[in-house]
Amino acid sequence: MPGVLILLLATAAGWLAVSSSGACRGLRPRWAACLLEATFGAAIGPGSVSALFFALQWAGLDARTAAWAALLIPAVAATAFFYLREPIAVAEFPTPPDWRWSRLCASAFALALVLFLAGFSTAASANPQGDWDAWAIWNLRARFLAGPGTWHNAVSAELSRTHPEYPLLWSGVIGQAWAAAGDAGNPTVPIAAAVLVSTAAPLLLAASLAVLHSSAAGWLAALILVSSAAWWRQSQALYADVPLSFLILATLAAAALAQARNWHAPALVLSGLLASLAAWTKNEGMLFFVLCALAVTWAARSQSLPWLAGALPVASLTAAFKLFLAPPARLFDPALLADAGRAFQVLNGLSAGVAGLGPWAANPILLAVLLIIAVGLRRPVNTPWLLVPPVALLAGGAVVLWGTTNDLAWQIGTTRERLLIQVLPALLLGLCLHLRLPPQPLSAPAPAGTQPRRRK
Amino acid sequence: MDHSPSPWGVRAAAGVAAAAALSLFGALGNYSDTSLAASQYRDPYHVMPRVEALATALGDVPAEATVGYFSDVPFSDPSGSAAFFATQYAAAPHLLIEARPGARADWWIGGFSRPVDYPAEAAAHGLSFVRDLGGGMALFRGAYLQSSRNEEAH
Repeated sequence: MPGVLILLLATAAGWLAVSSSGACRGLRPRWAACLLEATFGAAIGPGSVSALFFALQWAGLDARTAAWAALLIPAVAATAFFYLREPIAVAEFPTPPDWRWSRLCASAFALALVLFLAGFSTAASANPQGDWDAWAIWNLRARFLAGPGTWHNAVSAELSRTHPEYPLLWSGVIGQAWAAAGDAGNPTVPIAAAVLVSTAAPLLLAASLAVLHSSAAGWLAALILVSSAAWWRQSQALYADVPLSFLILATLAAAALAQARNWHAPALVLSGLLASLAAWTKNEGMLFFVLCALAVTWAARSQSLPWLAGALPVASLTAAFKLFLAPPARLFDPALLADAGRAFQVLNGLSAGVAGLGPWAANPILLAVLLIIAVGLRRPVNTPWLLVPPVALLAGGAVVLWGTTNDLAWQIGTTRERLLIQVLPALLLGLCLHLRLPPQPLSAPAPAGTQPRRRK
Repeated sequence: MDHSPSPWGVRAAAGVAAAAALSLFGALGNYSDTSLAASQYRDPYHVMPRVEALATALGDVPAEATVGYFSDVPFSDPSGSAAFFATQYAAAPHLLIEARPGARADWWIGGFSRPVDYPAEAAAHGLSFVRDLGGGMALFRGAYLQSSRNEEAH
């Protein structure tokens, strides 16, 4: 339990920091603004503490001192910032229109969330250690990070079969809580961390769509996500893919909120920080970081500097980790890209993965398509660039599979669902943002605050 | 004024209702599947028993020490690799390495699928027996692992 409290303290520090930054100030409806602050906080709090925890150990501090310093420094800074800041006047965001059945959608989501948590509890009771990668990769390295003077084991070349080159955000989140609590190995910490991110992600999806589109669209998208069979499986596995999908979603949601308010600087800084935390999570996160940096730079032009500033600290740590610590890994052979048969095998595998996201009657992709057909698309659209990073990430993952040096059939089978889960929340955000707004005719202009940016 | 719902409104409401109902149907199915899986598959790789066995058993082994692992089940066998990785997790923060030609470690954990004479196993590998760790595992001391004539070192 102490480790869980440490995790909650990190989350609270993140919430304070987001609230202080003003990134969500003035957003409407108010409940969505509060929920956004809390869920963004759940992303940057533990993530930033994880990055600082690793950096301090690399600098020479012992695990327990580094764990407490990594928690207290951001917590004190966030608290001081919260009380000392001068509130900046921000024009209130107009409350989006909504459908009459918004509350029914919210009720349906609440019921699905209760089922999700009940199922999680059942799965965690039977398998507190999680699935294979949870104990063989992520929590193994968390134990190294939490041990006395053993953090360097987490990047030992002796771990050649379990990816010592992987970044360490998720291992750091768990290792920091273990080290601070003096309770390394307690399975309640990774379980609590997984519950935190797997419930925060649909809540963030609901809140961001409630602000940018409508409450009904938000609750529907969250319901589709939390009901997906693949979301259940990957959450219960205790891997790092659901945390990565949460960070990808949060990055794009913050960027969309920034764009809706003429590239609001605090929201851009938040988005950049979240993208850099995604890079610190997995190799796929590093690719996403680059894709998102390109997309934001293209969309925001000269106004993208706050995004880059927010990304700089953790992106620098990730780059230094890759350059100076991570053992080299040869996972990809470009020569294999000449084999077109492998490409077809990858496409077939990914198609099967899409079908496996849920039974056909409850497949999240089919349900999203059903909504688009039933509700229609709005015109004009002004955020198609939001879909580029997750779609490009999926394409990049397919290319990596195409050229993998591992057995291709095995790699496809173990990777496809995790790759799809990484982008599913972001795809739902991007698709639902383009649903027709209620209750306007097709040719009506978009609500205030969502006007397409005029090119100068 | 005509207050009847528009065709678009009826279609949208039907689509939303269908999506919500199907999602809830999916969530119920997921709960059923999860309950079934939980009853059938409990710690299939026996990770938690190894964690409990090694929680205090390696107390006199320095945390920074490299610990080697050998077994009578080859690593190429799925149960052999599962046992190695599970023991690697349980032994952390000690770094557990696979036994391979030339591997050097100050301490060794032996994992056995059948009852064996630990002192005899130690002698066969050029090690000294320290203690029984339970769960078919034993702790040995020595710098270099010699391959036993009767088992395949992996």
